Amino acid sequence: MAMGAPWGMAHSVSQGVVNNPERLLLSLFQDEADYEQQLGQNQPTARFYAWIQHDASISPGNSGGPLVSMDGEIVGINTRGNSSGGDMAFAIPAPVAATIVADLIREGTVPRSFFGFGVRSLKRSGFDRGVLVSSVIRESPAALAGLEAGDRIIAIDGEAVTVAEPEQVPPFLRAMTERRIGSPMAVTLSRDGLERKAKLVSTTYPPDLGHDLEVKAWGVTFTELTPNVARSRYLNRDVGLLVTGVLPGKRVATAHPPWLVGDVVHAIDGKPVGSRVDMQALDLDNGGAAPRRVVEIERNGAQLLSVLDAKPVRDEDKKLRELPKAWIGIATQPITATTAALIGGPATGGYRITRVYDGAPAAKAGVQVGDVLTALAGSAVPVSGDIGDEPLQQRIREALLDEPLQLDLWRAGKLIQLGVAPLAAPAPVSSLKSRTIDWLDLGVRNIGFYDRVARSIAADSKGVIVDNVASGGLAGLAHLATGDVILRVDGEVVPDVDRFEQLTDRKSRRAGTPLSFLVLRGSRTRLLYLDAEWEMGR
Amino acid sequence: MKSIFRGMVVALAAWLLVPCADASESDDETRAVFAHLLKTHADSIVRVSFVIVSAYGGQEQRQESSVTGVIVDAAGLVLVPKLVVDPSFPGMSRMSADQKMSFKLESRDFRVYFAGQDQPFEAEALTTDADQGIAWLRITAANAKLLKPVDLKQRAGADPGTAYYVLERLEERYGNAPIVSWGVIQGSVSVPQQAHVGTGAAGLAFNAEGEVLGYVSVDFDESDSAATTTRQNPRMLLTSAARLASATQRAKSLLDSE
Repeated sequence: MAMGAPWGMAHSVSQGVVNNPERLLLSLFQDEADYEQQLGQNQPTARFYAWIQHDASISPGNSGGPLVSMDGEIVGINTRGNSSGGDMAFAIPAPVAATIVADLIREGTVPRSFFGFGVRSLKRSGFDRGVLVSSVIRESPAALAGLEAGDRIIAIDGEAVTVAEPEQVPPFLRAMTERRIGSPMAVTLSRDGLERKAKLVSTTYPPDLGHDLEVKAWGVTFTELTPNVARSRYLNRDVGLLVTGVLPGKRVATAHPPWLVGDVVHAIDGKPVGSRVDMQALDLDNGGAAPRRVVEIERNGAQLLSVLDAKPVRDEDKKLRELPKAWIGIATQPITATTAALIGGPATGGYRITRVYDGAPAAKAGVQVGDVLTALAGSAVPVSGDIGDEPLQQRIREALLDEPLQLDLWRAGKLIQLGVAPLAAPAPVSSLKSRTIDWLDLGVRNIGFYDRVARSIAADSKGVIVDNVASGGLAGLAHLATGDVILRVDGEVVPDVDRFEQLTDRKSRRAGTPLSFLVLRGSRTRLLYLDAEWEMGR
Repeated sequence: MKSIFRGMVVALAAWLLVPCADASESDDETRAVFAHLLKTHADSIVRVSFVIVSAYGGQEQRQESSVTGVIVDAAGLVLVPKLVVDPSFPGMSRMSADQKMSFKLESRDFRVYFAGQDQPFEAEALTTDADQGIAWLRITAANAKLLKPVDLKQRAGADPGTAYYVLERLEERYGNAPIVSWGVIQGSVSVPQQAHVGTGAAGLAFNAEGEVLGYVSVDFDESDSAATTTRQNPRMLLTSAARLASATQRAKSLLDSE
């Protein structure tokens, strides 16, 4: 039985049978030596054990949950399945997990010995005893002891060893790592038909992968280099920060030259950086002004200098404005001559007023829904079809601001004329002031005229509109959604994005307190919380 | 027979000579127009370079490009096609919300090159007018002596059949030399907007006397899904000089509101 929380649904149990108690995830087209190689890239699991393959259904959310026998004993820890869910599942064997748990409780880490050689089984090798050395890492204890790829280890500490099948490789490697760090290991080898002796002294097993980190203000993610990662990428040095993601338009993407995924950062303004701690010390994500930076990066073996431009205090999204145009605040539908004849409209057709916006110039001039507009400034406005009033709106936009514009309107069978003083059109949504709150992974903007119309928001109500919520970010965890109108933050009214930025300023908030948002979603208000635990987890 | 033959030769010579005389006159006239336009307006014509940044799925690409711009105000306003500051491509408006989220297309790093100056001046996008297909840049720190704007009040109306001329400034590798192109007004339309339809060069259009006729822009119909495949030549619309002048005044007013 697989117990866990598939797709977040806690206390779920599914049932199946074990399909293979020692599964290696190796395809028919892979050499077994490739298995360990691929583990060393970005998947450092299952090097020291074979999976329990079973068909109890597991989905995202089951990972870390127990695989339990019908007697109630934990036999494994579910770890892998299909990303879309399903009944092909893989669990870490319970004895392996138990050892790791005990190590973590006792020492806070899992001590492992490192010898620096890989092995493969004797399968299809023609040999019937020993284990084949498949690789030797440069400058490792194995290399220092003279081991070479192709050697066959036939005894360790005087005891014969044989690894006949691939499934026996992980337990063999685990036994190697469980030896005391720093202890010697006597190895008997067969090379070119001759037996040789070698003595290996283990070191501490190096980490496969370093810590990940993100500098949001720069738009970049890194992972710390480890000897393993450096080796797999043929890098010159094994200390530095490997660039794993670059956000378009942000500082590193617009640097000179721009950074690329795969670059390795070695120093910033002359200070060496190689770890998360080094970067945190530079306080690059403080939200303040940022000076120009000179960064040393390694790319394809070349040592480059890249200059990051200075950044003003506020990284305000600069909007491209559309020229202010005349606007009188009406919506219309075109009426062809044929339709006009049916509804008693003007013989030439025209544009029927379908909406007059409150407070707009047209409303002040007395324009009413149902009027049919036939001419602007004494000039007829042609109707080109049943759909779209662009010719009319275009003509209105061409009018001069603040200069009276004469409208010829057909109302109740009579032609009337009204003078309207156009105003500048309300700002389009795309040009409204906006802010990106990096630590929340949230974008907000001011409320505009068209937002108020679309959402029936009163002209005097205050708030900001959620423009975007990054998947997996803290705003998403607070259940904020694109289109929400944030009315209050922690009970304080939010008149605009500037105030919102102040209210959500991370530095001025008391640690450990939840952040609340009163939002308008559709016709309902909702109170949403960002749990303090989520924030602290970052 | 001889006289008949002689008569035919004379007639043929006359037939050949008359057009030659007309062509020569026409050439002279064209040369005079070009010289006049270059003398009158070349100092207002600049080269504008910019960088188009496109990004999709985290991969960013940059491409440097340049166009002709026209100084239209002593405050440093430069008239350019709207696509220069607000790049797009046919069908972009039909992208899904998800596609738009992961797609970025923008222009940046505007630089204005004046004739005879070895260093460009930085500029920024001020505003656009989608109806006329134009945009205005503002030179952020220009030498006032270099700013010799076209006077948009010196303008004239256009009718179908009117020839128009457009001044361009070539790319740096051609020494930023000014040249003249031309076109002709083919007709007029009132929908979707009031404009003339032209064929030939795009840009700020002058008549032979050097008066401004309006701005000729290329009209891409974003709603036409087949525009890029079936219609080889997008329409060119000339909006009037009066509209252009009015819009430029409004663009300039934005400087005061900043």
